[in-house]
Order: sequence, then structure tokens, then C-alpha cells
Amino acid sequence: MKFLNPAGLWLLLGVPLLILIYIIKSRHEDRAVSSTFIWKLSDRFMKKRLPLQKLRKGLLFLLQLLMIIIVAFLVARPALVTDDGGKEYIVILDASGSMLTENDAGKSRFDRAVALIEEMVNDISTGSQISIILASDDASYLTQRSEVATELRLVLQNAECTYSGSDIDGALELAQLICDKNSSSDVVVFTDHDFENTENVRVVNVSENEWNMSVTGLTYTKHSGYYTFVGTVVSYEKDASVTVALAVDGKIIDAQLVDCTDGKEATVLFTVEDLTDFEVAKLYTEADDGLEADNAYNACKKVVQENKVLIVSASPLYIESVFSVMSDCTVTVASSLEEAVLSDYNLYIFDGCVPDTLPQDGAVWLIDPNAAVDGLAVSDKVEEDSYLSLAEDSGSDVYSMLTAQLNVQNISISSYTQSAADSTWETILVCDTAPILFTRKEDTGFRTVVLAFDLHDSNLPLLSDFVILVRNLLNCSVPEMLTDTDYSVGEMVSVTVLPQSQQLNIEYPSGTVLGLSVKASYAKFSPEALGIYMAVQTLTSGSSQYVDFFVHLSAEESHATVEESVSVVLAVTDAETADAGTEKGFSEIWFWFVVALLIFILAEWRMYYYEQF
Amino acid sequence: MKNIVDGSFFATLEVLDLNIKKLMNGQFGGNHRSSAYGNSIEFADFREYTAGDDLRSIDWNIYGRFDKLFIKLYVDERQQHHHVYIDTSASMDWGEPSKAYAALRVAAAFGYLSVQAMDRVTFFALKDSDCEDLCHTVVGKDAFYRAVGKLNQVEFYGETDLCAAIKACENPGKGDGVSIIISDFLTDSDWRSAVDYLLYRGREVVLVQMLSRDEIAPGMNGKLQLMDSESDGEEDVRNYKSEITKSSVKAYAEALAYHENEIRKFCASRAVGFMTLCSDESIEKILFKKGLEAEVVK
Repeated sequence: MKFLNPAGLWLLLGVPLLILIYIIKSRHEDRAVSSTFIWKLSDRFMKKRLPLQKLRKGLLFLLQLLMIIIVAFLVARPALVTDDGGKEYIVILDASGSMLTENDAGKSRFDRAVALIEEMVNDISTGSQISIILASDDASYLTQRSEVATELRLVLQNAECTYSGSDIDGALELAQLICDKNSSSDVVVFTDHDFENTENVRVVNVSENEWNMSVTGLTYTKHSGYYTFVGTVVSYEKDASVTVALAVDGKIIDAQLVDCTDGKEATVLFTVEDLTDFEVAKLYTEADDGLEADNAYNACKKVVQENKVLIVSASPLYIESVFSVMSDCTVTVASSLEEAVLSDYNLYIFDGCVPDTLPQDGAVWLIDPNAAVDGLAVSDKVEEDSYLSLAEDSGSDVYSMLTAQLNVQNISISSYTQSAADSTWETILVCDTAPILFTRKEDTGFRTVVLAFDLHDSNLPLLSDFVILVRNLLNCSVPEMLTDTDYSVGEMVSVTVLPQSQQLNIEYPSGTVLGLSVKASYAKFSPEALGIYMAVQTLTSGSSQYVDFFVHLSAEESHATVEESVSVVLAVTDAETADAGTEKGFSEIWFWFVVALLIFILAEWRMYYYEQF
Repeated sequence: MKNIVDGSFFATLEVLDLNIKKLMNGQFGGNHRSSAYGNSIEFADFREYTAGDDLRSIDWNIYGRFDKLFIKLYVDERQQHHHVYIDTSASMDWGEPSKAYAALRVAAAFGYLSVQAMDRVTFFALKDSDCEDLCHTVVGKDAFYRAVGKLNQVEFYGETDLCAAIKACENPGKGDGVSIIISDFLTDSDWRSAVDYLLYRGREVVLVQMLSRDEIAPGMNGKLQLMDSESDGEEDVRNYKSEITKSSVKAYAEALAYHENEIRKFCASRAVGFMTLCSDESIEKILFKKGLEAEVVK
């Protein structure tokens, strides 16, 4: 037996209430009479009670108890499990951004899908079970194997569409778990993708091929005294001529009429004279299309940080040369430690020398160190021609960043300084087993890098990998907060935690602030809303650094009705291995409970009312 | 309490008289036959003539037949003195209308019947172990009307030991009338001894049991502690704690019938008149139906 409305069992709380009433009622009520003479005399005339009469009170209590239980059961709608009748449905609801596309009536695909599911809930027979899986960025159950229509409707009312993609595969995996238990389950996918129907999966395409005008990109180029902005727009489902406008820092600059061919990307170019700088440029269209979310695209101005670099070297030729191609760096060269002023630089490079105290206000590179530093002992040079190799991958972000696009097999050295680094250092490159390139993050938050060989004793300066290595070292030592300024919804945004960062907040377009941890080298999060975000890092010095970035709808969501070759298929579970108990229907048995209730009421009346009066 | 008598009350009683079965002594000048021979016109017996007898009483026809002198004796009619004892315990002040009101009306009725028959009547209030003479001996209707005023002022409270109270009566009478005891007889006191005492005094006795409607048919149920009106509080042993059910009520009715029957049997064994009344019954029904049935009035 199963209860179709288990909430009705709350009425069983009446049982303790009844017990309480019996306890309270056990007191005798005072009643005045003229004389108790006859009442006392009547004791002699009381018939000898039958055992049943002695139990009368107990039986009354028992009957009332049973009545409460039966009423609770009735409200809970008891049903017997049968082998027929009920059926199981698994509904997959696509909640991707494209489902926000509205038809001419102003109803989105998502709303239409929800309405269809509600109709389905209304039509299913008693005892049928429905599981609803929401396929957004991740697939998740909204409700699992529910038989209660009210609960299902509530779940559907609360379901929300997202701007992200749809994890249909993940949803099918969840559906498969249910199918493994009940092989006769019907799987229905409500989506706007043209998936093919299969034997056990029915696809309901809620798309009405609505027209969608999408602004898919905006880039800018700075020229002397002016900027050029290049945008791309696409019209889906029909050819269209639309007006696209460019606004810079909220001020409309220009608008152009663009002829778009269905599905083909059209380019639009804007030249903005007399523009020295800007923060945000916006390319948008006010076309009355189905999906408004992709009608605008923002380009946030990337702020290039200028890095001040001090090179202390007796022969800085190679290292100075490589920095000359780094446009974001200003280099100062000192031939000796005595000449150098060790403050106010982002990066200090000591080639062949080591200061008594390492600078505390920037990253430090020690090339061919001739003296020990904290946690690192250096000894004699080892004269040996050999090639470098990568150290064992520690899996850290620093390792992957420093070795990115680096081909170390070609790098050879003729001698290196033998070093003994403690566990605080992370080795990146080795010569045989000897550490050659290793790094660590200091307590100050800045990074120290040791290159344990003289560049003159290596072919590295002659290789293109030298530039790559220096760029990787620079990115790691003086990192940028963000490498890009535009992301799509659901894409992982990795914010570099700056040295001496105390706090990292992400301000959403809605104004909501999300705090991220600054313990790791990178803080990652996945944006869910469209618009311009701002990453803010507060440093120990009290200053703050800001970066704006734009999160847009992915191009796939702008045109979801493209025919998919993918078909959604579920493995059919052998009926014998499926859980037979779940393949069921229900037959309500309220009638018998009503009969029992009437019998108990009559019995109770007979015992109580008739006896009393 | 409203007035126990009114004009219609007396009109109802005009045609009735107390039914005195025994021949009483009494005093002179009454309307009731006595055991003594007197000067009425009603023949009683013959007696042989002795010197000093009135010659006018000699029956000359008897002399002709038996050649002996016999004189005719006639019944003597005397005045009776009736006593009405009213139980004034708290249990009598119960019911709607109250038993007290009904008891006083019945007492007044018997009093009126007495004075109407040229008899004397005395009303006694029984309280605790005392017997209070409410208005001394009432003779004649004028005195009766004054006595009614006294009856109106009787208060019912406390408890009454019927036996002790009646025996405490200073002038219970001796063979000269009827003693009427009006009570609910819902008491453990030995009222039987009181009746025997009055019979010993040569009195004719009538018991009137006065009950209220809810005593005859109690309409109650559930778990109750019945508080006796004469009890001193919740802990008094006279209180009765029980769950009243239909069976209990049935047993009560049986007990009440048993109690009434016991009184009736006792009365029958001693030629004592008895009637059970309900406080809501009309005086007409009491006297013309129940009184006549019980042969208390004629």
C-alpha cells in the first residue's frame, strides 16, 4: 500500500491530541444534587458488569483512535500497488539561453515547454510517476519520481531558464539511472534543438523558428588619435536589414544599416575620431527579434599595466634584449648592486649577483646566483654539457603557466650552479636531476625565480624559447588580473590573484558582490548572468585594482534551432534486471476506509451515545 | 419564595376532609367520632340501666321484650388536634418548583382541612434535632391565615435528624389526631423510630414524601462528583463520585423505587398513610388523586 498524498498523515497528530484529551478529561466534574442518598443506594442495583462493559472505556478510546487513523489515511489517499495503470515518465527540460527566445505572442520557448509539461501532468493517470530533469549548464533533478500533481506543478512554476548552455547529455545520464530501474519509462525531451526521435526518447521541439538578430562580437583597435571598432552581427532564420548602433561610454556615436543574410555573419566597421580613451563600447541593435539577450555586445577597454623592471647585471645584453620586445615593460639597467636603487620596481633581475636583502616590493629573478638566499644554498659550478628537461609535473598552476608553449629539449647548458633548495621551492626545469629553474611565492606575495645557470653558458638566448620563457616568467611574476575581457555565460573565468592581494570581489551586473578566495594563485568562477562584471582586488597597501569584463550569450545559444545530427538514445535495460517493484500503478482503496470509518462511528455511537443516554 | 396559598388554593380544598380512620379521643365540640359515648344523635350501643342514669335514655321497647331496663348509648364527637411536621433541611430546598414550596403548600392544605373540620392544627419545623413550633395551635380560619404567614417565612437549610427532632417535640399529642410528616426521606436518620413513637402516642400518622422532578428522573451523564446539598465540602463522605451512564441512571431509578417501596411496606405494616409527591404537581392532583388514592383525605 502507498499513500498518494502523504501530507495527510500529519493528521495522525490527532492521536497524541486524543490521548491528551483523555488525560485532561479523566477528572470528575462537580455537580450539585439535593441528596446522594439514592445514588449511593443505586450501587446495589448496578448490574454486574460484563467483561465487555468493563473494557468499555478502553474500547471507546480504541475506536476513537482508529477513527483518527482512518481519517488520516483517507486524506493521505491510500492506494494499492498494482501491476498496471501507473506509468513512469522522465521529462528533460532544456533550460539553456536559447529557450528564452520568444514567439510573436511574447511567450518564450521555455514557458511553452513548461505549459506542455503541465498539460502532461494533468493528463497522466493516478499513480503515474514523473521525474523532471532541468538541463542547464549542469543537469539536475527538479523532482524525482513524484506522483503528486501539486508538487509537480509547484516545481514547474519555480523552474527558471538560464543564459547558459544545455547539458542534454548529463540529463540523459540522469534519465538513464531511472530507466535502469524501470525500463518502460517514457523519456520526453522538451528542447529547441532538432534532436532526432529514437525508440525510447521522444523529442518535443518547442522552437517556432523565431527570427533572431544577434550581435556576436566587437573588437577595437587604437590608432593615433582615433579608434576603429569592428562588430559582427548575424540574422538567423531570415534575411534582414537591421540598424546597429555603437555607443562609447554610454554616448551613441554612430549607427549603420546592415544587410544580413540568413545565418551569415556580417561585419560592420565604425571609425571614431578624436577618441583618446574609453572604458566600455557597446554595439547593439533594437531589432524586434525573438531573443533580446544577444542584441548587444560590449567591449571593455583592456588596461595595460606598465611593469617597471630593474636589471642588475655586469653583462645584461641577452636579458635586456629580450625585454626590449616586451611593450608593457620599462627597463632600467644597473651594472652592479652598488649602482642599483632597490625599490619601486615591479620586477628585480639580479644576474650573477645576489643582494644582501632581497627587495620586498616586487618579484625577484636570480640568474646564476652566486650566494645563498633564504631556503636556498648554492655551491660550486658543475661543468657539464647537457640538455634541460621538465621537472615532474606538480600539477600546479605555476608549473603549467611557466611551461606553456615551451620546448625545453633544445635548451642546452654547459655549466650550472649546483643548488640545494628546500621544499618551499617548486622546480620547473632540471638538468638530469639537478634543479635549474625553480620558484616560490614569498610571504610578501611576490614571486622569486631562480635560473641556476649563466645565460652565456647556454644556447637559450639564441632560441625563440627564450622569449617564451621570459614572457611566461613575466606573466607569472607580474601577473595580469584577467587575460581576456569577454566571456560567455557558463565559461570559467580565471582571475589571477595579485601579489599582496587581500580581497578579491566580483561585482555582478545586478550589483551583487561575490567574494573569492585569494589563497590560490587563481580564483575561478562561472558567470551566470549577462552584462559587464568588475573584478576588484584590494592589496595590502590599501590600493585597489579593477578590471571590467563582459559576459555575453554564447553563439550556440543565439541559434539553437540548427539541425543537430545527434540523436538522443538511452540504453534499454533488460526488463528482468529492472526493478520490478517500480513498474507499477495504483488502485485507490478509499472506499474500504470509508466503510471501516462508518462501522467505527456506529460502534462508537453505540458504545458512547447509547450508553450515556 | 412566592406565597404558598392563594384564593384558588382554598376553593380547591372546600370539598375535602382529612380521613381519620381511627377513633380518637380529642376534646369536646368537634366533628369527629370518638371512642367515648356522648350526646350525639348517632346510636352506638345498649347498656343495662344503673342507678343514676338518665331515665330518658331507657329503651322501653327492649324492656317490653326482655323485662329488663336498658339504656341507649350515643357516639361522642370530638375536636382533633393534628400535627404537621415539615422537614426543613437543605435537601428540601431543591427542584423547580422547589420541594420546600410544595411541602409548605401541602402543609397549608392539611392545615386548612383541619380548621375547616373544626379541628386544631399545629405546624412544626424539623431542623437538626429540634422541633420548632411555628405558630402554636391553630384553631379557626382566622388563626390559620395568620399561620400561613408564618409558613411563608420558613427557611430550609442544614440537615435534619427526623427521629431526634420529632421525639424532641414537647407536645406530640396522645391519641387525639393525625401527625403528618412531610419530607423527602432521603436520609440515613431513623425516621421509622419516629413513626413508631407517634403511633405509640396513639397518633394516626401520614408520611408525605416530597421529591423534585430531577430526583425522580436525573438527566445527567459523564464523570461526575455529585455534591450533596447538605455536605460540608468536596471531601465530605456524603458526596458521590462516579461515571454516570445509562446503566447508572437505570440503577438509580430502581433504587428510588426500592426506597419508596420500603417506606410503603413499612407504612402498610403499621397502618400509616403514605404518598409520594413531585414538587411540580398541582395541589389538585396531590389531594384529589394521590390523596384520595392513599386515603389520606376523603
